[in-house]
Amino acid sequence: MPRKDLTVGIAGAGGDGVISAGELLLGVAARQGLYGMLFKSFGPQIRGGESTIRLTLSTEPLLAQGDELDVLIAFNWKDYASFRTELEPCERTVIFVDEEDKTPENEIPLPENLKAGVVRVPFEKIAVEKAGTALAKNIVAVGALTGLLGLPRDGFAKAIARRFGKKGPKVVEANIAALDAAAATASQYRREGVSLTPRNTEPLMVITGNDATGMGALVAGCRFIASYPITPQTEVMEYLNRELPKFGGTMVQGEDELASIGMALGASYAGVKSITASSGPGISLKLETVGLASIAEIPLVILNVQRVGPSTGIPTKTEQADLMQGIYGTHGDASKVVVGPTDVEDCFWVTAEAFNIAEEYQTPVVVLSDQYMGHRADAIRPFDITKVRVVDRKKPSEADLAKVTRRHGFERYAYTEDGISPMSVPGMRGGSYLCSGLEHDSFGAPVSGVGGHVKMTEKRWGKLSSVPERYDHLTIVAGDADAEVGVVAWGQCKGVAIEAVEQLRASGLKAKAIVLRLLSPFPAARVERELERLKTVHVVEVSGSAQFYTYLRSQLRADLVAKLVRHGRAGAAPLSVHEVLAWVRGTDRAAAS
Amino acid sequence: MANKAVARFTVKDYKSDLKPVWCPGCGDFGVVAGIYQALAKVNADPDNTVVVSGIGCSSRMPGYVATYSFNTIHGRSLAVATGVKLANPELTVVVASGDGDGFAIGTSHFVHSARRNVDVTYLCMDNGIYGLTKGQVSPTSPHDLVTKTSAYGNLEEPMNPVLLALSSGATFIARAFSGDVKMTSDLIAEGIRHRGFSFLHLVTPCVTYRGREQFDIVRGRLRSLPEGHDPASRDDARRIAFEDVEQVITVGLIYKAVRPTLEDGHAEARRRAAATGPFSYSDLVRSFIPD
Repeated sequence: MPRKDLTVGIAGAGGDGVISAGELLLGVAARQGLYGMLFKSFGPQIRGGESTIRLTLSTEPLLAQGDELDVLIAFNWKDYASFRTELEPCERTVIFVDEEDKTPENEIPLPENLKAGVVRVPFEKIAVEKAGTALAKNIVAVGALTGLLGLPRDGFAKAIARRFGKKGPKVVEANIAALDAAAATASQYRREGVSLTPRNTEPLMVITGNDATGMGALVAGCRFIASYPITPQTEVMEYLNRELPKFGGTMVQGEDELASIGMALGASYAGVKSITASSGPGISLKLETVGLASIAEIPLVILNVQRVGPSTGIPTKTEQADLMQGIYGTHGDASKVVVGPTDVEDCFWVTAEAFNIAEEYQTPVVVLSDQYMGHRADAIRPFDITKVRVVDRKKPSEADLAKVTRRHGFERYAYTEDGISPMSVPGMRGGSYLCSGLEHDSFGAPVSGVGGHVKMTEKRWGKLSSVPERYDHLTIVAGDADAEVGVVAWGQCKGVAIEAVEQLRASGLKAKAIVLRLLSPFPAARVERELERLKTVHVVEVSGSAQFYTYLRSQLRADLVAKLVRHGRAGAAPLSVHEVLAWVRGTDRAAAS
Repeated sequence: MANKAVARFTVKDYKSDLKPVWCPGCGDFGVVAGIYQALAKVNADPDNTVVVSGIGCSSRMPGYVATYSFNTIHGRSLAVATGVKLANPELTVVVASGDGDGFAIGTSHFVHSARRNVDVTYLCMDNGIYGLTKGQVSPTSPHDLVTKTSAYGNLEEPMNPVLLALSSGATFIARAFSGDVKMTSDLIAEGIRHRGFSFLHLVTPCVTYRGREQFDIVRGRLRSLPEGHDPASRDDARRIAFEDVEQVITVGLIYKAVRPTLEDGHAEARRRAAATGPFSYSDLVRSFIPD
């Protein structure tokens, strides 16, 4: 039976072109209708250091990257060694190494049983002979993969023609010759069933989570971003810097994180949908202003592309350990909403919904993305823009404002049935009011009495009570309705959770996955309904202190808390399906004995 | 042009019903009066005017001015004001601040707002003390001043706001004594009319924590601008900026220059981007499909 997906790893030094090889492979595959996920990993160098890619291609939409490598290409063992844990080969892996690599046998960073199967391929020699430069090594690697995996050769030839077209037909021909020579060399190692024939023939889009986030914001009506560069967020502000001015919008690079969120808040106060984007360290700095948005009831989207923490941590790697900061960060009983996309495509949809929630409820909304989604490029179906819903904040009518008789007499924080008060913006005749971070009465005038604060706190939290019901579609459930075993996850763990549940079901177990995209206010009614019939609930996450598990314990009924099993580990790498399965099966054994 | 009646606003149109929390005799009363008069002088439409502040005695100002008013958090007034102005460049934006808000916790925003030349009018009510927290040393407190947090005298050098404004690229720099409401309001009005970042260093005595005599001390140091002072000259401005305010306080329009504002820059970015258009959301999606 032909395989549905294949996973390839490539490791090399700066200048080996590892990243561009991955992009070329994914681009051509997407053009032919193959789905894919491309994850890049870099060493600490700012430019030109060692790097790896992990690429999964599939005939079906992908949930998670393949755990097992079908192919591993190492341009040299030294650079591979520093990424070994991220690209671990297994018995079925075809391992290619450049024959130029002179690492002594006993220093090759592979388990003994795999060393015998290593194939030495003349990557550099083919590059120099055919294309006249060692720089074409990555084209040779791509060629080797087309030969080995039976990928359609013509697509790559066309892509090479486009890429090198400016350098003249000779350069194009030379690179195609290198591609073909490598394909011929590698095809002898081809294995049975290792080829992909796309079922879908429409071209797919190739996009990173950060670009998808930027686009989601723009399409939801965002016209202002102020941010400060920080890894792994920066691509979001770069995207909106390029695209917003085309649609009449504005991007400002603030002098710091504090200025950035302040500007975004000011712009939203003045009526323009706004976002500020950062990562953990920057979000820590912004939190005071999040509280201001909360008490002043100003819509604002705060994006956190999470990375490994605390402090500087590992800026280029992934973790889900800013959940508590997202939900509880900033002082006081600050009402806010927290949502989290679950994959690259979701970065688009969930960011758009974040703007809708912010506008509808006049509240700060924290979006918890992460480096694994933000930096990963996926080949997916192009977004259907017509499906994007756009919500605008409730404003007072002219008739309402005409009734205002005294100065600062617009009742900006009027108590209403749903807790949402019409919001005026500067320029609206009769709508002026005092907006502030001070506790206030319904007109915005500062109050320091006890009763006023109790009432306003109830208003600000009360208005959010309808979020879970109105945004029920943010909770994803997959698997058996009558499941006994559940896997609960959020964010990037959706893919491995659902994939693990599918494998459990294939082995005869009744199982389901519950994935939260609305994290706060907690969708208690829905989650409790989903957990009701489960016997065991495995909580999986990329957090060493089990923040998600701890949060669930604080939100669920005691009888449901008793079903929760704590898993999860600290980050740097995303979870694999194997890890989730091992956790689930281990606990099942313990429960049975 | 059709004859269109232009509304005339008067001082009372800017007075809110809130009663100031300031101590009796506070220098800030002169500034709030100056703001009312200045807004009336430039005939600012209260519904198209935003007064923004941070935290401190002076930052209570937005509550007392019946425009759109935003009392934000400590140090961030200029950041929020920049967002407001960029979102709607038609608005008149006035920022009220003090020496702690502007030159301690919010210094970087002052420097960068001046550099960017965002078209807001920034009033710093400098009293050389933290009043709201009841009498601690501030970045503009004079050397050796004894306060609750400088029990053995202020051992740090005070900051020089006018010199900082000049070196940061502010395009309008003026100084006034809040006890002189006429001059304060005239200079605020001129600052509002100026297109670009206007900085008003308002010497505003704190009678509670610096003593009642502060008004007299300041008055004794006041000087008019020297004969022939040219606000367009950086050299003339620099001479004033280097004066020691513990000896002499020169008031008036110190410096004025013309250069594009931050909003002008963003409008230009939009023009350049539009020249490569037109654009639709579908184009955004299409740009990610490999060809």
